[in-house]
Amino acid sequence: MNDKEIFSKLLAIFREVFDDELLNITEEMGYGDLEEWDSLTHIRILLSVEKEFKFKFDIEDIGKLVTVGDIIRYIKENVNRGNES
Amino acid sequence: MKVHHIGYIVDNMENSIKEFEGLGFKILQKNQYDEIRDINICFIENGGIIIELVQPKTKESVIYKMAGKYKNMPYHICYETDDMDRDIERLKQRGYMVIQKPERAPAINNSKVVFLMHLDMGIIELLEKNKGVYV
Repeated sequence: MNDKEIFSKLLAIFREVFDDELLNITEEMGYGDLEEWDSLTHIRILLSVEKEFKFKFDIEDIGKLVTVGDIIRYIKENVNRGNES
Repeated sequence: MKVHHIGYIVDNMENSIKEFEGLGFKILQKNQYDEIRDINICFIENGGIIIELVQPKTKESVIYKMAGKYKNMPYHICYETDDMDRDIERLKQRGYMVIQKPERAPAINNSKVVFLMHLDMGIIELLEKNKGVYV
C-alpha cells in the first residue's frame, strides 16, 4: 500500500468519525486541533484504523500518537507486517 | 458475561440521586471518591439493576470532557470476569481496544477493573469476579 492510498483511507476514516464529508486533514493536525477531537474520538479513530488496515495498536504506543502524521507513520510501519499483537 | 452494573455519567450527583430515588432506586453505596480516576461514585439499585452514578471531580478526570458534553447519560456496561487477562485477549480479537489499563477500583472493594472500547459497542468495563462488594 503506497503513501497516497494510506492517506486517502485515513482521510475517509476522519470524515466518517467526525461526520464531515468536507473535512481535510494534514500531517501536522493533532489531537485537540478539532473541537470534537477528544480522547474518546481519538480511540474511535484508532479503532477505525485497526479495522481498515488490519493490525492492532500496542497500548504502550497509543499515547505517542498525537498527530495525523504520527498515525500515518504507525500505519506505514505496521500495515504490511500483519501485526497481531 | 454477567452484567455487574451500568455506568451512568451525571452532572450533579446530589440532584441525580434525588431523581433516581423518585423512580424507585435505593442507594447501595454512598458517594465515594475514586482518586485513580478523579471521580465521585455512588451505587444505586432498583429491581436487581445496579447503576453506578459517576461524576468527574476536576478537569483532570478521565471523563471530564464527556460529562461536559453529555451531562447525564449511561456510558458503559460493566461485566464480571473470572479471568481478566484471558477476556481482554478474547475481546481484543473481537475488535476491542484497551483504553485504560487494568487498575484497582476503590469504590468496588479495590477490585481490578479495565475499560475497553469497540466501534460497534462503545465503552465496556470488566470487573474481577468475586472481589467486588456486590458480586
